[in-house]
Amino acid sequence: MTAEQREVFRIALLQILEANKAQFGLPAWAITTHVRKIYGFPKASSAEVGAELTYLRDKSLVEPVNKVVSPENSAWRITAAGRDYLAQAE
Amino acid sequence: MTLPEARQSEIIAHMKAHQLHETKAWLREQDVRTSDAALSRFWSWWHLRQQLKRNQSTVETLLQELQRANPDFSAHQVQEVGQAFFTALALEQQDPKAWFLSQQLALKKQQLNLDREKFELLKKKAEQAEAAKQVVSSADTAEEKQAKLRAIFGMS
Repeated sequence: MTAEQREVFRIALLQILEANKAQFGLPAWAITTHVRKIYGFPKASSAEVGAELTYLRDKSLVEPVNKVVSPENSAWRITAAGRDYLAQAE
Repeated sequence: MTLPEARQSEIIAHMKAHQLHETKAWLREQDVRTSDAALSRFWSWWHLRQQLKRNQSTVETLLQELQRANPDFSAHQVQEVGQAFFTALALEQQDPKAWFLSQQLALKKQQLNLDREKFELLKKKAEQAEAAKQVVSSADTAEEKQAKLRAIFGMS
């Protein structure tokens, strides 16, 4: 992925999470499926999505939903900072 | 995607009744320039959001029943079960068989095995959610329901 593609990829992840208004997080595998189907990244792997979600978490744009049961099967939601970032990006 | 809700619905309604190039032309008349890809993406995103809204509503209904049957459940436990329901509903809409078929064409065997393991894990969670639904709607006492739900979700 080029730097430009990576930025589009990150914005796609934020847009997917922004579509979820529920108090519950979206599982990472679902985010991967949607970024493949909707955003034209058919070869995006779970590992790539996981790495970018971690990057976005480090930027405080997304956060993992606190899970006690099966924490290894992570779910994510967008933060207020993530929504603000998206609004500016658009 | 930061357009007001009403405006988004208006565009979706137009897309439902017209071809893509007609919607593009309609938007252009309003000084909005867009592409086929952007409109197509908006269509998918908007439907994803509607589906997630419906899922949220379903989960909230299930949680209300759960709380009625188990008033001593903590907010944290309810949140955990809600997340499990929400994940299970997401699984139901992904048509995992079709997804795996497409993966077989594109991914190496090693990657596919990793995904299959994940699928099994999620399938188990979906089965847990289904079992929990049956417990909630059963004629068991509150204590029995609580014990069964704890067993289903592995809560000690």
